[in-house]
Parts: sequence; structure tokens; C-alpha cells
Amino acid sequence: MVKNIIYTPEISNNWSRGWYEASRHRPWIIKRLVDSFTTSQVQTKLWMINELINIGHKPKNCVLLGGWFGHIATNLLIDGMDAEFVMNYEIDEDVKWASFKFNRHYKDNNKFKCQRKNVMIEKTGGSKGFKLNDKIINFDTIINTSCEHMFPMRQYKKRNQEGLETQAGFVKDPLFVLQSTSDDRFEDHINIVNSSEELVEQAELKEVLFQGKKVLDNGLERFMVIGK
Amino acid sequence: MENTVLCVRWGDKYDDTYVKKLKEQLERHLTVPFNFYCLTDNPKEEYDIQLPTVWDKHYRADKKMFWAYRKCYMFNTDKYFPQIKGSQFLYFDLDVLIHQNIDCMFELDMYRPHIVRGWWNDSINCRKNYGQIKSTPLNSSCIRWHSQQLSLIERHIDKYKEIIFFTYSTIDNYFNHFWYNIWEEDIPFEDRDKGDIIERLKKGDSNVDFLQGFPKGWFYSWYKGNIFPDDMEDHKLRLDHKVCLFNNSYNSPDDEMKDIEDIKKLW
Repeated sequence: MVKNIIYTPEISNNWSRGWYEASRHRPWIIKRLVDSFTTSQVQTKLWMINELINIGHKPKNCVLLGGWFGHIATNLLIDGMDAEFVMNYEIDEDVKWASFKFNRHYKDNNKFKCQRKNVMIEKTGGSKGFKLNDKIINFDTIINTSCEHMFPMRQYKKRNQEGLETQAGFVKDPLFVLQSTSDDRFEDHINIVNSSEELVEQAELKEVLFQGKKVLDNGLERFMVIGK
Repeated sequence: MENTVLCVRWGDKYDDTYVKKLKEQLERHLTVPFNFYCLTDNPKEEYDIQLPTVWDKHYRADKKMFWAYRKCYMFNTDKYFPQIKGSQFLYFDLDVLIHQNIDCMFELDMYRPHIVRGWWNDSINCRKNYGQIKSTPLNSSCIRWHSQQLSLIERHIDKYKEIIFFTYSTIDNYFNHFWYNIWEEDIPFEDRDKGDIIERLKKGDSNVDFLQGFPKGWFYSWYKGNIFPDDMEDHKLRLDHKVCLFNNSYNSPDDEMKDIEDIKKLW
């Protein structure tokens, strides 16, 4: 069982530099950075990693959809689970900037990338798939731990139907890891769910390998499903 | 090239007095010839034209998301309003107060369409809240475009209507996410050099810096002020500006136009 992030010298360097550069060049993102390091943020990512281990999945190439700063998830996927590559798709330019700062050594070693994309409208696979060394990466693990902030995940599959069917940008039947909440106190929680079953339905998953609920440190109810 | 001024009225929030008042103000402050039309769900006057209803089914009344969607039909006049004359379009909300001659609005460089950049909004705050889809820097109370220039926005909405009606509380937030670049708003368009908009859209780019703000000093907000942070006094007439906007008290679906009487006192 993974109980903690993997705090290597490189992570220490990147995260301390990340904080420093954010406070110097984009101080308006500091509050969000603080929020991204809360207990519940770490809890949800550890939960994901441990359930991936429990079902025996070994992620190789991962996509974070709306992955925010992506620091904890990337650390756990690459250093904790030996994933080879993590792509973070985000809509926010400032978040993209900080995401590179906090994941700098992964980026410098061709293990991390962040691109600005609206994943419900823009394709991430097919001919638009991400190329590394001129080769389209076929992603095997698609992670969205912020489903409450966006349109139901069936749209992502629909938008990338061609890539999913032809295995361009995706392996055959990639694994979807999805989290959401029932908390409706925030204006930007435009798509809350009341059960893991609802999350399964929204993503039109045909095979469910894990589904569960967890009450986090902040008192919020969080649902997770893993499936294909 | 004929000039055409449009407004849109639906529901019962504004009665037709507002349309008449807008028309009167235009006749007073616009000396170039212009056509005038009101796109409405309840046509009565000779300048009224029936609004389409094709997007009604995507509107969730309980959530009030994308609630001003009817304003977006006018972006494609060829498709929805072939009877409209003219090719130089200027749109106004009904709750505006025009202080000065506005002929200059038909003299703008139209390489890109113009929309109100609400300078009373703190740019940093807009960036901070970008991901949360709030605090948009844009205000669609006045828009200027030519012929079918904005039809790509209408087509974009139509293509992705299910997602857009689900995600965006206001059309201004939608414009901010797809058609404006707040991170580069201080850089002149010619220096951004990101290629042809149509080509970028074809390639699947979901954020193109298409809309540009009207010149600073033309518009201010009755409820929010003028320019952040130095000139933010609200409920203040600024007669050296061209237009006062009254709709900026709108922060959430629950606080629509609480002070609607303010404008009537100033007409």
C-alpha cells in the first residue's frame, strides 16, 4: 500500500522552486497552489494509486484530464508506479505554467507534458494525439479526478471515438479512472453525482473494475470508479 | 455598406418601453443612416423580428446556464434573419444609457469584431477565476461586427450546444474561454502571430483570440465603476464616456437586475 508521496531530491528542488517562482512571477496563483496541497488532495490521489495497485493495473502512459497542477498525481504515477509518461490537459494558462514548474524534472526527462486543451471539445487522440519523438503516444490510463467540474465523461469518449476505435493515441480499451463528488456548495461544481453508479453511467463504462466512496478529511464525499 | 443596429428582447424582464428608449437614444446619438431591428419572442412593432427557438430545448431553466443564448442567433443573420438589411452590425443590450455621439462605432477597424472589455474587472481576478468559469473580463452589452464575421461563433455554439449550455453560466464566460485571450490582451494582435483563425479552428484549437475590446474610455459600468483600480466609483454618471452599462450587477442567476429602476430615472 502506498501511504505517501515519493519525496525525492528532484521533487524537493522542483517544488521549492515552483513555490518561489509562483510567488515571484504569478502570486495570484498561490492560494490555488495551497489548495492543491491539502490533506484531501493527497488522500484522493493516494486512493487512486492504491486502487490501481489492487486491481493489478500498471500504468505506462497516463492522461490527466483537467489535472490542475498535476504535481501529486504525476509524482505518484511516475515515482510510485513506474509510469513512463504523464500528459496533463488543462484549460488555464497559469495552471499550465505552474504545472511545468512543479514537474520540471519529469518534463526535462520527457516524462511529463502539459497542454492547454478543452478536453470536451478538442480531441486528445487520433491524428491529434500527442507525439513524443515523432511517435504518437498511445495512452493506457485516462484519469479525471475532477469530473464535477465538467460535462459528463461520455463526451470525452465520443470526441475521441475515432482514436479509441483505431487505437490512435490510445491503447485498446484504455482504463478510465474517474473521481467526483456530491458536494454542491461550489458554483463550479457543475456536474456533481450522488453515487459511484452515476459516475459509471456518465462515462458509459462497460466494465467496472473498482467503484467506491470515501469521506475525505475535509468532510466531502468522494466517489471513484475505475473501468473500461 | 449599410449600418444596422440590433437589440434582443425576450421574456418579461424588459417591456417594449426599453426598446423604444434605445431607439430614441440611437436617433439622438447616431447621425449616420442605420436600420434598426429588435429580435424578440413577441413581435409587435414593424422593427420587431421573431426570434428562433431552436436552442430552447437545451436551456435548463432550473440551472439558468447560458441564459442569454438568444443573443447569439444574431451572429448568423444569413441563417436566421435573412430579412435583415445591412452588413455593418452594432448590437446593444436594452439597459444602456448612451451619453454621446457614437458614429465612431461604425468607423472602427473591423479586422476583428469588438466587444466590451469591462476594464472595471481586475485582470488578475479574471485570470484567477478562469478555471472556475467566473469573473469574465468581457461584457456582451455591446458588440460590433460585420456581415457573417461572427457566424463562426454561432456555428461553434450550435455544434457544441450540449456542452456549452451545460458548462457556461453566461455567454460572456463562454466568449472568454473560446474567443478571447486574457493572458495576451495587452499584446497587439499583430504581435501575437498565431496564424489564421479559421485554420486554427479547423485544427481543433479551442481558444482563439478573436474578439477585441472597444477602445478604453468608451464604456463604463453603473454598478461596478470604470477602470480598475483607480476609477471604481459606482452609481456615478461619466458623461465624458459614450455609454453607461446597467447590467453588471449580475453575478449569479439569483441577482438579476435588482436595481432595474435606476436606469429609468436616468432616461
